Amino acid sequence: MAGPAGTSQRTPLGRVRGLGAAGQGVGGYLRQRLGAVGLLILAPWFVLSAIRAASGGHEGVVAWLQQPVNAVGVALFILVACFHMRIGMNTIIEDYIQKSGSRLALLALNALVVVAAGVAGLYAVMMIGFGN
Amino acid sequence: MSEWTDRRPLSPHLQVWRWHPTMLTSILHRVTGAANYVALLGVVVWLMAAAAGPQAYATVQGLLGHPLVWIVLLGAVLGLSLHIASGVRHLVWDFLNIGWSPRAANLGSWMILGGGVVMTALVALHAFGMGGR
Repeated sequence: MAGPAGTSQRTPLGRVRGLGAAGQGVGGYLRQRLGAVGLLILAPWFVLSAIRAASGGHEGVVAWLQQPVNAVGVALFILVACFHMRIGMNTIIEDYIQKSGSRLALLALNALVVVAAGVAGLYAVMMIGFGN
Repeated sequence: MSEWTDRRPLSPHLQVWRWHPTMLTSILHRVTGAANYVALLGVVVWLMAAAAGPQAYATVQGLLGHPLVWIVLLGAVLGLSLHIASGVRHLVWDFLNIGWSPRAANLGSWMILGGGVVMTALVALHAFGMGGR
């Protein structure tokens, strides 16, 4: 890989890819904005819709999630929110945690928390949607 | 190893700056993002309780009836509202490439703060109209 200067077969782009403060290029930046655009619609819809559903107690929430449109909407909201918040929290960790060990541990913890939240949220939605 | 050993003076940090609107909204965007992270975990707990059945849901609903929890929920909605308003501004900056002048940026920051509060008030009215949970 790192032979004498000028003898590497790798292109300059290939060498820097995966490096930098975050270990990635602008990928996180673009994905963060893609998620943001989706959440611009999903998040307000979820809050208003969930408040309406919650006013009907447990039955109200179940009836709400048994409507396919609502189940898909909530599932999408959970997925996109997890996607968006993982990138955001990664950025915060990368900015403030200098020690590479703790940084790696927190990044891993973030990934686990986000995946756990996503799986739990989707499972709950499907369980109610498919009628317990 | 991890201790700061560089003896040169550090650059001025948070405490020396006068607070101004763009600084406030910049910091708030990050803080509210972290708050939304926690709030979403709460949403997942709520969904799991609903899936677990009426008894589990009743436990969570009992918590939601507490006035202190209302304040937390209102704070969560305010955090989300501010993050959305500030997020829109970031999208405008990044993709339309407008609003960069100090005047426009300060005005935008005030609009974000006002808009966030108005959005929160609308959600609170909506919740109140629905019977306050």
